[in-house]
Amino acid sequence: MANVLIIDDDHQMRSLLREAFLLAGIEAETAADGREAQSLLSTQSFRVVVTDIVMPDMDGFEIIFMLRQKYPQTAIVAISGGGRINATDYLDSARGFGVAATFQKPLNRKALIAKVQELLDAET
Amino acid sequence: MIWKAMDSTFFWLTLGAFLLCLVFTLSLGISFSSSRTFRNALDRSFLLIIALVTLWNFISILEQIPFLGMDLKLLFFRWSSSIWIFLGVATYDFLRKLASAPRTWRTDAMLVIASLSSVWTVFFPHAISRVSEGPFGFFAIPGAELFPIMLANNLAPVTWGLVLIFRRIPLASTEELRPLHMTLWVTPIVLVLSQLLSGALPLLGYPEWSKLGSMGLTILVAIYYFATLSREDTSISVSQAAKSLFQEMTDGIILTDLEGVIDQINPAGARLLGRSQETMVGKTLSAFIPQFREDQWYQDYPFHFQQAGRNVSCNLTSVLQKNKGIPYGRMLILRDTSDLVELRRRSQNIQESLDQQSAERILALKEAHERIRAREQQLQSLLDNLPFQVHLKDSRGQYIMQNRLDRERRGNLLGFNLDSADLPLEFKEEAQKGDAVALKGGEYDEDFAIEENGQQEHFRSIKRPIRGSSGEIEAILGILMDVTAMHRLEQERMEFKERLLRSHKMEAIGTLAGGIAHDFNNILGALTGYCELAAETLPAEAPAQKYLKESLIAAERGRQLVQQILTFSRQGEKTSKPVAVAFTIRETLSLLRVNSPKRVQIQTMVPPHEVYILGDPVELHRIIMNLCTNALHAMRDNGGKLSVSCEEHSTPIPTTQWGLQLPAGQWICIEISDTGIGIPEENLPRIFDPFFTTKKTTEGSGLGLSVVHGLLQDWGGYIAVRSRKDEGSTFRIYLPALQRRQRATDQQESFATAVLLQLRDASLQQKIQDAFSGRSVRWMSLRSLEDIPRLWRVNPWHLAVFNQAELDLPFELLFQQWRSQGIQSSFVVFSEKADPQDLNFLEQVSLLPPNTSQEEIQTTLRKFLWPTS
Repeated sequence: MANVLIIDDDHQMRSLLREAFLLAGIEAETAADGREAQSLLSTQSFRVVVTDIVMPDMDGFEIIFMLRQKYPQTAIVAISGGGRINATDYLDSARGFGVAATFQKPLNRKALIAKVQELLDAET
Repeated sequence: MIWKAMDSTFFWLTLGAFLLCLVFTLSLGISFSSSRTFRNALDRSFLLIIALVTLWNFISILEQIPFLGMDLKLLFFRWSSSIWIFLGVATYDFLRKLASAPRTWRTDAMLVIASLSSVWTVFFPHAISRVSEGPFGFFAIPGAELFPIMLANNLAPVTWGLVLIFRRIPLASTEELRPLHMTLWVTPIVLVLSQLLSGALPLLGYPEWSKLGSMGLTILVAIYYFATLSREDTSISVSQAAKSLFQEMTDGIILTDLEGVIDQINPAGARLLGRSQETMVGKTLSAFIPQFREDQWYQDYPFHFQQAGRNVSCNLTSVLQKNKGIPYGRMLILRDTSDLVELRRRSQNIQESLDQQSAERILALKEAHERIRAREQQLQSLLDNLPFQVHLKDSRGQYIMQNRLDRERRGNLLGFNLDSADLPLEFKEEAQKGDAVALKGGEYDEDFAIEENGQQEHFRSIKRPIRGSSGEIEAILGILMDVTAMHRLEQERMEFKERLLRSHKMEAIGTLAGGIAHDFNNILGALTGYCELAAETLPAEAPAQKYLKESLIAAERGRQLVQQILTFSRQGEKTSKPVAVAFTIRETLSLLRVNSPKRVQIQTMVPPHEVYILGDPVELHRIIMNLCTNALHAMRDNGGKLSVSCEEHSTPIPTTQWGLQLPAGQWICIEISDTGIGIPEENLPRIFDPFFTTKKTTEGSGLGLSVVHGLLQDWGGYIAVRSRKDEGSTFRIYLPALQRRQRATDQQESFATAVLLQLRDASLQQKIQDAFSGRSVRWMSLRSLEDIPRLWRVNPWHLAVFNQAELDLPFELLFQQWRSQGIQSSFVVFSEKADPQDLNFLEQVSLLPPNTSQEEIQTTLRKFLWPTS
């Protein structure tokens, strides 16, 4: 059973993160967008959700709000590479909405894994 | 013998006298018939005397013819006696004429009596004398009846004639009448002498010589008469000319006697008076000209009268006619002036109409002159008020007109030409060029500059030919416009345009770069991630490790580049807070000193007290680092001096500094100056362009200065550069200074600030403010939510307190909006409806019901204001 859900519209980023988590001994599922994430969430529960902010259809904020409402126990880590507006603003806003941690792309992989590990540990 | 009876001496003497008198008679007769001189009358009288003497002598000869009977001789004697009586009358007549005495009834009567006496004597010889027969024929013996007849017929007329002569003598005393004077004297003397001789010689016993004496004296008179009086005679031609003139003259000539009776009138005179000559002669002139009076003198006296229904005007001049000084009549000259008067009248009319025309013309001229003067005045005033200099030169180059501005700027040039005028050389050269073009009929428009008092002044010179009516170039119009201000504006406009263009370009690049950066970040993330994974999964000694490491370095460079692009396009992370400028400069330079080349001297000049700007300390650090690195790079080979200074700069009004348009305000001016190689002039306009670099590809991306430029723009700052090749470059940065008061609040971190929107609920407001009575919280009141972003920029606070009931929008929306504007405040919101679940997850927001106790309010506020305590 995967403990971590990775939501990112960038296919390479998704697979990279899953590989990285796997190397660290963390199982992770991936979703390309909010819809896919929702269907996954409805079938299984995740302890930590790592989500990108800027995505088509359903953006990171919607996912955060959805998670906060439906799965308040799930820790959220927001990642963003920045967009046409200020990248850090998104992360700041996300922080304001009560995400556990934010990371700016390009990601500091080790820090992210450490944070996720920490969140998993904290849950257990 | 009767022949013998006649004394031969007497006979011959008588015959001689006869012949001589015959000669005289004939000569006088010829002269009389051929001459029409005014002397005719006199000649006639003289001729009569001579003829009578001739006749007498002839009869005297007949008397003495021997074979004639006594009766016949007696008859001849009587005839000769009657001739004597005639002779007396004729002598009187001659003397009268010689004395220019008028003919009177008395003389006429005497002539009649004399004629009757002669006839009577012939037919009744015994009535007057007794005839005796003497030695020389018959002779009359004075009888009692003879003397009265003698007295009446011979002696009386002669005596009367002598009286007239003697009266006449004093009148002929003038110089011109001297010959007449002599004649008047000589004539009576001779007459008396001849009478005396005729009487005395017989008495003295020489009766036969008596004839000789009187005859000799008669001859003397005749000779003298011819000798003197003939000289007075005018020539025949002149008298003919006078006569013809009299006939042909257009002026009327009327000759009258002294009583005004017309004696002669010429055709012109008769025509003028509308009568025939014949009807007028013998009548007085006043019968024809009523106004005329014969006792008055006239000199061009105008007469007007009606004649055959026509107005006749004439001028009358009367001239007294004199003969031998004796007035005998008048000559009246009538000059027809009708035409002249008519002509004068017409001429007067013409003159009047001319006067009127001329008056009208003068009036029109005056008006025209007035109009021209007014026009001229307007023109002059227009010229004088023109904002540029205008002058006129004639075709020889002499100034003939200047407007006021021209006079003020260049002085009075009238009458001067280019050579003589006191003008700067540049003006003269320019004017010469322009004049040459205009004189050929061309139009000249040229800008030129002159240096005056170290300042460039720009002028536009316009020259135009001015042609006269014949098409000849008469003058040159010159206009001189001071276009210095225009020139400066044009330059500024160009600079502004260039800056605007650059700004647009950079914005476009920024937008593009920002778009790429997002995707590029993801790509780099994947690249880095997989490389790291590969490195971790490979054995440490694997040769690929080295390659992966290089890949990661490259990826890192990529990441940095993206970061710079994001910064440049204002999409990177940035904060806005007070930055201590002097501190940042010192810190940056201390870092630089470590790595700077030995030959570079670094100098810092910062104010003793700290100065602040609103920005990001990290970015300011980067900016200074960037510029200093460039400076050091420029001095890498030759060394030099790097100066970094910082000073406060105040511009009370908008100012231009280093080509930058600084708004009014307080500025922090940072200057970074090196003595390096300088920036080539052609590169200067491009150094702030993104990706412009002179460094080798390995040394820099070219984003440096454009990033600096972008950051400074975000902070409301400016940057300018001055550089000279091989002398170095100086960058100058202007950033808006933070006011001291604001800085004070920032420096005292412990002094908390809070914002409270003016609450309508006064009790709630009181409750909140009372919660911190005595505590160090500075409350700022807000009237409107719109002031929030502005207030935040100038004076950031820690906490803001609102009452949802008094907000128009849900707080959640406002919050998101403020966050996006970079407002990092905490919020306490009083809200009745608020679901704590909705907003409480926000760490910086606390929702409190309006009826919260003062104690609870105090606790909540303190949590936000002093989180650490």
